Amino acid sequence: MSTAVVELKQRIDEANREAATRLTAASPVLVDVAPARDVIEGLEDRMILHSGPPIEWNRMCGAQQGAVVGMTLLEGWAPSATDAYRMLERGQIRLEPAHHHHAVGPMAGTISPSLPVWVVENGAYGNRACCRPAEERQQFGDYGEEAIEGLRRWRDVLAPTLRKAIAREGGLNLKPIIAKALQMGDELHNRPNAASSLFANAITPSLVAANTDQEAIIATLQHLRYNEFLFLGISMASAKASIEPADDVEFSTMVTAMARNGTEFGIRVSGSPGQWFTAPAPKVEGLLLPGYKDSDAGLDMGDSAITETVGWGGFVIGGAPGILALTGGTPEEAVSYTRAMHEITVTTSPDYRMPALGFEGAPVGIDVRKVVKTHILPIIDTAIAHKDAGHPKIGAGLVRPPMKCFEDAFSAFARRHGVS
Amino acid sequence: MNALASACAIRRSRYVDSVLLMHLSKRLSQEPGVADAFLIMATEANRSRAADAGYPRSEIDIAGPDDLLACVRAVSDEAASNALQKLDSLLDEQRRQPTTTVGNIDDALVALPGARIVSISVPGEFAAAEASRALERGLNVFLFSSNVALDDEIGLKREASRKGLIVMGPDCGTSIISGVGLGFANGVRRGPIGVVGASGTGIQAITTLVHRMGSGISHAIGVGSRDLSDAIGGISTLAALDSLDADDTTEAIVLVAKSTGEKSRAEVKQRARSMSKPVLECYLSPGGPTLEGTAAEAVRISGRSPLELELPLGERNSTESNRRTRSRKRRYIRGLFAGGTFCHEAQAILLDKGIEARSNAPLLPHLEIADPGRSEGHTLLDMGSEEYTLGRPHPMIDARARVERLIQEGRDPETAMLLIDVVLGYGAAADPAGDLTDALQQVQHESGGEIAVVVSVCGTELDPQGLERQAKTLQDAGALVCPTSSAAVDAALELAGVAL
Amino acid sequence: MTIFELLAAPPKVINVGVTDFASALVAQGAEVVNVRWSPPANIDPELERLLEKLL
Repeated sequence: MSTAVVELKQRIDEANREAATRLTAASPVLVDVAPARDVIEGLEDRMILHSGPPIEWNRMCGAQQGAVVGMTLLEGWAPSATDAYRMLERGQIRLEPAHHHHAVGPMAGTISPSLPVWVVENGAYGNRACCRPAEERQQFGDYGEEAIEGLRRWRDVLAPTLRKAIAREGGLNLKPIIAKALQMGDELHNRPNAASSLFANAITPSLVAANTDQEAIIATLQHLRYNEFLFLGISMASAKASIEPADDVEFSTMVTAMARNGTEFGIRVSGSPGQWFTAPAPKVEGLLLPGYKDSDAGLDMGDSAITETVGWGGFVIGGAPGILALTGGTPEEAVSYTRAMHEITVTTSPDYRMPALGFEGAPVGIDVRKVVKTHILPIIDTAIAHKDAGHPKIGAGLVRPPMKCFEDAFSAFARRHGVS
Repeated sequence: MNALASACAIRRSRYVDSVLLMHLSKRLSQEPGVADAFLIMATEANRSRAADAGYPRSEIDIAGPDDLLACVRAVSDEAASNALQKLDSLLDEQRRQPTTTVGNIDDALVALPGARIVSISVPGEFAAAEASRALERGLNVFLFSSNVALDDEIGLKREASRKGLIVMGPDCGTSIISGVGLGFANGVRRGPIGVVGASGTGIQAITTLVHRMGSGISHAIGVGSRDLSDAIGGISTLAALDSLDADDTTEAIVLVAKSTGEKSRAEVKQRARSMSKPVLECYLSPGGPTLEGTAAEAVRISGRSPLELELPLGERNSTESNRRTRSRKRRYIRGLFAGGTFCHEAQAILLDKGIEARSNAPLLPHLEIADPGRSEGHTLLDMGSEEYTLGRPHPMIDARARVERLIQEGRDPETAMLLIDVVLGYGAAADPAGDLTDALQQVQHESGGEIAVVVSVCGTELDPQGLERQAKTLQDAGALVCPTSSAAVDAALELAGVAL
Repeated sequence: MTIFELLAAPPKVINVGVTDFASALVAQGAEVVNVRWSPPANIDPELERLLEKLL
């Protein structure tokens, strides 16, 4: 083996260590919840951000189109759904990936200018990232009146109330909440229940002290009470804020994004900044709510795989075995999945040691080389949308990215560094 | 929606969580004739959803928010109500733990610490690597897979030997360790007889016969079909013998094998002589002991009187009444065996009487059949062999190949009788006798009753299929059911007019 | 777990391959864990070469 090759391997290992260190050093703090136009760079009028890699309107899946229509109605850019569809077909609204604007969104992931988004700052590096609120209807493609009314309520009542609370806190440190939640059986993706409760607990005093409108306070507390998935929006913003400083480390083969738009699955790699490696979105294996069948299901969708990208979600399913009921598994199988993730990661978490794995640190930082070598793909647990617009959430399950994304990323990396 | 029948059921005050409800809906929707299934806790919101889905309010609104409501739409009222009848057993099933499945052997050890053995039934080309992995971790191996390279077998067995472990196989169909059957095994009681076998059906035969004779099995250790070749030198056989010699529950040992190398056979003999317990060797050679004879001898040695092996099937089942008027052209015995050992034993018994039968697994090279697809003269076939399975499952699981050949033999004007073994046990088909009855009746019909069908059943009353039930099914289909494989061969010969 | 120890008690079995065998073991009341087996992945020889240099 030539010296050049040995040196390159060393450089790659060093770069991955650097990228992983930056990731595990992250310190997410919830600093705001504000209208997207005020906090998201480059979000212009008549622009809607969406989840996953770049995609044009006519290639978008039914559910994502429905979600985009929903935001169009929320903004009042069109008086009816029919008009909204027409506007979009005529290209009168710009569509860009949230990821390109330091933002993420679950499922269809649509963000429009007036929608309040969570804003998380990474205390270790000072960078910020945003995520839209997680809910059960519009982000799944439902653009009916109930779905849009829910978003209006968030925009006009709930988010402003929370905003005052967060400001009064001077920002809410999320690291302790995340650490506790993981120990309580959460994985911060499809099981963020404990984190949602802990967040509600933490924010309530400031919520009450900073607001005078009692009805708004009660409405917000009710929202916190009945929304088990609330923390997903916060965990996704935290994950995005945590991983961004680890991007663009030369020679690093660590994955810095996994994102899907219901049509394609895309990954981004630290050492290949700005590039998407895409493949057709896979089918999710899981359970559907009563009344829905397999042929109704849409393909894998959402930026929520950013949680797995930083080592939460499916990666720590060994500590959150309840999720495995979605595919009929057992706690031992959950542990087996997490163990498998150790084979494809750069490092282990210094913060989250998993009792079910003998207190071994959770697997963190996906290395594309190891994925190609072992053929072990990251495991992601996720919700399922209908393939058509106009439906709420229809189920949940497990999914793996297409191997092609990792093979392409690996080949591109090799080419970039003159290895053939 | 109008063309479908719907039905609803309520389970009062029965809480089931949402994930489990999704499971159950999916399961019910898989019942025959069911178009969709809707299971919910009957809160107002969920009841609205059920109504939106088209189920009648009159039935939905009987349920309250604490009740489980199950709605089903199917092609007929009967299908809908049949599906709903499954509801309770499905609800109960969920309480039982499913068999844990993991991704690799290390995770398996975490899930089941104290695991002692790995059972491997993957395609042959990958089996050695899996077996090696098991041995590395100090685990014994039950290697069901066949088509493992000879060199790999030698390597694995040497490694096992070094570590005091055993490789049962490759091509090992059966073992019974401390009462637990691996592979294709029968339900037999525990007792003082230990068995070492280079043949799966050989082990099945001996263990079931010992049980039926009133005794029982301590352990039955399969060693793989090639173990006693000189190339392997009986590594697993010797290890198995040693372990049974040291085992408190074993008083006598039976060794059953179809073929052995000279050196291996000599080594085994020597080891047997030095052991503290009696070892009965059964190589199924012409003039040697049959499987039945060996089993009986083993029971006697361990101090019991072997019970008579009659199947209570009544008068109809005698060779006398089964003698039929036959055209002179019908002269030949055609044996179609699922168990290779039974095919071997049958050849040996015939040879001892000076009768040569052709076979695809011949005892003597010159008796190899020219065309496996066509019988000539007396023909005894091992239907479990590759040329007949052709990508289909083994005849112990899937009767199709045997059925086809049965009918073919039935149409051959030279066939006088059919000799068939039916093997029961865990892993075998759910109703092996039933799978053959149509073909047997067709043969009787097409030959005008001139072909005698002689059957033996290898199994016990403890098997899932039930020995007596299976024997009765075969008798009802017109077969002469014999208590053992060797008795069946004798009966066939008697029917053919050969002096026993 | 030598062969002598193997015979001392009912075996706990790790099943690799045909799941029917695991079901049969469960039916007999034995303790079993299934290993989900699939043939080893075929890596593109081109990628295999690159892996040798970069991993």
